[in-house]
Amino acid sequence: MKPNKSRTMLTDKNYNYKEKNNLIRLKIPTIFILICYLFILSCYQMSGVTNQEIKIQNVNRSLMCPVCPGESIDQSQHPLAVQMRNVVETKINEGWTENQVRDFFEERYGTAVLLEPSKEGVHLVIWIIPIIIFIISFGALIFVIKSMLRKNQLLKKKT
Amino acid sequence: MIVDTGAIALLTALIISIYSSFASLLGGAWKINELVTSGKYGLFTIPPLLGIATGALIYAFITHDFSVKYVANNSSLDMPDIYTWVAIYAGNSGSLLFIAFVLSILIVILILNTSKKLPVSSPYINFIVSIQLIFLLLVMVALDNPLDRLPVTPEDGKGINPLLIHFGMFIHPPTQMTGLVAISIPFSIAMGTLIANRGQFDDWIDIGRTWGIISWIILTFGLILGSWWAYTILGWGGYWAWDPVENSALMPWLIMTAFIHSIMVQKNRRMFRTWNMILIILAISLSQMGMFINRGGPVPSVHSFAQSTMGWLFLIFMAFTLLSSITVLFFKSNTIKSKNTIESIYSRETIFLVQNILFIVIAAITLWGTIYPVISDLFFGQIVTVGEPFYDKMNGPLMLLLIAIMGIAPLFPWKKGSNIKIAKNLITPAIIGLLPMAIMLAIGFSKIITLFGVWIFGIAATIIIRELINGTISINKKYQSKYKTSIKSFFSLLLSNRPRYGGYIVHLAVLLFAAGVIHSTFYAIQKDIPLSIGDTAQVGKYSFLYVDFRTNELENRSETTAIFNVSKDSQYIGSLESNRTFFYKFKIAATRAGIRSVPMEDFYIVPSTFSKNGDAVFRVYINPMVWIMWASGPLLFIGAILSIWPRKQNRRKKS
Repeated sequence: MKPNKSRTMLTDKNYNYKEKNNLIRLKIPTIFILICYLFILSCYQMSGVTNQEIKIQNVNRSLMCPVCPGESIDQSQHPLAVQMRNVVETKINEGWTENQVRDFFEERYGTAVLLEPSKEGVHLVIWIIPIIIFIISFGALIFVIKSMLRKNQLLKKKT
Repeated sequence: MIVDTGAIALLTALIISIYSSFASLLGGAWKINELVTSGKYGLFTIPPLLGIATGALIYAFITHDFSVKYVANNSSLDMPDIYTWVAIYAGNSGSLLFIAFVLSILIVILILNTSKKLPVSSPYINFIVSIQLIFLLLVMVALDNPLDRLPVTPEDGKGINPLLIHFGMFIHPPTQMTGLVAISIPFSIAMGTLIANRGQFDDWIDIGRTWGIISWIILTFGLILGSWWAYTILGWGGYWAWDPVENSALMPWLIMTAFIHSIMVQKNRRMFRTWNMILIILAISLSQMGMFINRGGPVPSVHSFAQSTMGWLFLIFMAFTLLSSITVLFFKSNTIKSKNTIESIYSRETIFLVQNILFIVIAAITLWGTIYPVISDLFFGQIVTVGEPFYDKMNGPLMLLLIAIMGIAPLFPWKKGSNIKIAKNLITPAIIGLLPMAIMLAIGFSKIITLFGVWIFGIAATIIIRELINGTISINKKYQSKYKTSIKSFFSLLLSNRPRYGGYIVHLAVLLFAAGVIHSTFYAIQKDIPLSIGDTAQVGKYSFLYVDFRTNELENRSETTAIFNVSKDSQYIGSLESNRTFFYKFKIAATRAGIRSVPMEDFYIVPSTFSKNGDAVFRVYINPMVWIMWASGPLLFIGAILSIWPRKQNRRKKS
C-alpha cells in the first residue's frame, strides 16, 4: 500500500470548487467544537463550596491513610481515615494553615503519611530524576535525528 | 476426583509445553519439518489441558470444596454463588492459571495465523511464546499449585475480599490480565523473526501490528473498566489514583501505544526496525514487571489481592527476558539494518519518533515514582510515599504535550514536508481553537492550564475533522457517480486507508477522554454534608431530599441504603440509592455510590458511617464530563478495529 496515495487526494489541486468547499471545511469543525464546549460550559455552576472546605479537601488529598495501602484519607472508608479527616477539619477551622496540618501529621505518622514527597534534602532526587530523564531522552532524540539527517545527505551525494 | 484430574492435566501441560519449545527450536534450527509440526501439535493440546485444570478449579469453587487450599483461601460459604465462578482469579496461583489458559488459547490462534504466512520464523515464534507459557506453568506446578490439597479440610473458607464482590470482577481482572499477557504475542513474533534472520524482509509487520493493536485494545479496556470500577465502588468520586499497580498496568500500555505508532513507520518506510524491537522488548518487560509489583511487590497498593511471597521470581523472569532479548537484538542487529533514513525534520517519521520518546519518558517517570519508595527505604532508610501530586505535576504537562503532538501530526506528510505548508495548515485550526477558549475566558474560567488545554484540544479536533471532511469531499468529487451522498463517500474514505482513518477515530476518542479527564480533575465539586432523614441540601444546581434509609442485617455483613429524591434546577429528576455495606469478618466497608450520569456531568452521592436513626455524613460530587469519558471507549474500539480490519486480498494486490 502506498501511503502517499490518499495524501495527494487531499491537496488543493484536485478541487474544482475550491471556494465553496473552503466554507464547508471551516464551518463544520467550528460548529462541532462549539457544541462540544457549550456542553462543558453548561456544567459550570456556583458550587456553594467554601474556601475553607476546599482547603480541607486539599489537605485530605495530600495525606496517606496509614493503615489502608494506596489510598489517601480523602479516598479511604477506613475508620482511621474518617478520624483523621475530622482532625484536619478541626485544625483548619481553628485557623491552621494547610502546611501546618501536614507537618502535624508528619510528626505523628512519619514521612510516609505525605502523598507528595518533600522537596528538601535527599528526597529532592525524586523531583530531579524525571527532569534528567526528560533532558537525556530528548538530547538523544535530537542527536539521532541529526545523525540520520546527515546520513541522508551523504546518501544523496552518492546518488 | 475432578480436582486431581485437573492437577494431572496441569502437569501434563507443563511437560508437553517443554517438549514443544524444544521441538520448535530444534526443528527450526535443523530444518526438520516433522519436529516443528509435532511441537505445533503439542501446543494445540495445551488449551484443552489447561481448560480441564481451570474447569476443575472452578468446579472446586462452586461445590465449595475447601479441601483445596486455594479454594479455602479465596472463597467462603457465605459469598454469593455467582462470584464463586470468578473467584479463580481472586488470588495468586488461580490468576496464574487463568493467565496461562488465556495465553495457551492465544498461542493456538497465533500458530494458525503465522505458520503459513511466516513459515521460516514460525518455529522460533512458537519457541519464544512457549517459554513464557512454561514459566507460568512451572511456577504453578513447582511452587504454588492452585489445585493443591490441604491436609485437613476446614469447615469454611477464609472468604474473598469484599471489594471484589462487584460486577466489575467479571470484566476488569480478566480483561486486564488478558491484555498484559497478550503482549507476549507481538513480542514473540518480533523476536522469532529476529532469530530466524528474517528481520530485513519485514514480513512480520502486518501480523505483528495486528496483534500489537489487539493487545493494546484489550489493555485499554482493562484500564478503562478498572477506572469505572474504582469510580463506582471506592466512593471517592475519582477513577485513577496513580496507585503502584495501576501504574504497572499503565506503563506497558504507554509503550504499546508507542509501538503501534512506530510500527507504521516500518510498514510504510522500512525503517525503525531496531527501534520497534526495543519498544516491544520494553513493553513485555514492563508487563512482567507489573506481575512482580502486583504479586508480592514491595509497594503498598489497593490492588494487593494476589499478594504472594514469590514476587521476586517474576522480577527474575523479567530480568531474564530483558537480558536475553537485548542479547539477541545485539547479535542480530546487522540483519535488520535499514537503508532508509529520515529525510526531513518535517516528516511523519520524526513526529512519530518524538511521540515515541514522550511515551517512554512518561513511562520512565511513572516507573521511577513507583519504585522510589523502595529505593528510599534501601538507601536512605526512610519510608516515603509517592502519590498523585507527583504524577500530576510530572506527567500532566507531558501528556498535554502528547495531545498537542497528536493534534498536529496529521499535518506532517511521510518522507518530506515543508515547514511553510505545515504552518499554513496550522493557522486555521489555531484560530478556530481560540474560539472555545475565548468563550470560556469570557464566562469566567481562569485556570491557565485548562484554557491552554482547551486551545490544544480545539486545534487537534479541528485538524482531524478537517482531514475527514477534506477526504470525503475529494472522494465525493472523484467518484461522483459511484458515491452519490456524502455519507457514502465518508464511509468509503474510512475504508480507503484503514490504519489512518481508524487512527483518526481513535484520536477523536482520546480527545474526548482527555477532555473528560481535564474537566473532571479541575472542575469537580466536592462537598461533605451531614444529613438527617427529611433534610434537603443543595450543591450546585442539584438539590436532594434525604427520604429514607433501610438497614439489612445479613449473616456476614450489614447493608445500609439511603434513598434520595434529586432535583436539578428545582425540577424533580428521580430518586437515587446510595449504599454502604460493612463486612464483619474483614472489617471493611464497601460503598456503592448513587450516580446520576448525563453527558454534561455526574451527580454522585456516597455515605460514610450511618448512625442508628439514619443520620450520616454524605459526600457529594458533581463531576463534569465523566459520561463523555466512558462514552469515548466504544468510539475508540470502533476506530481501533477499523485500523486493523484486513482488506480483501485482491484489493491489496492492486494497491
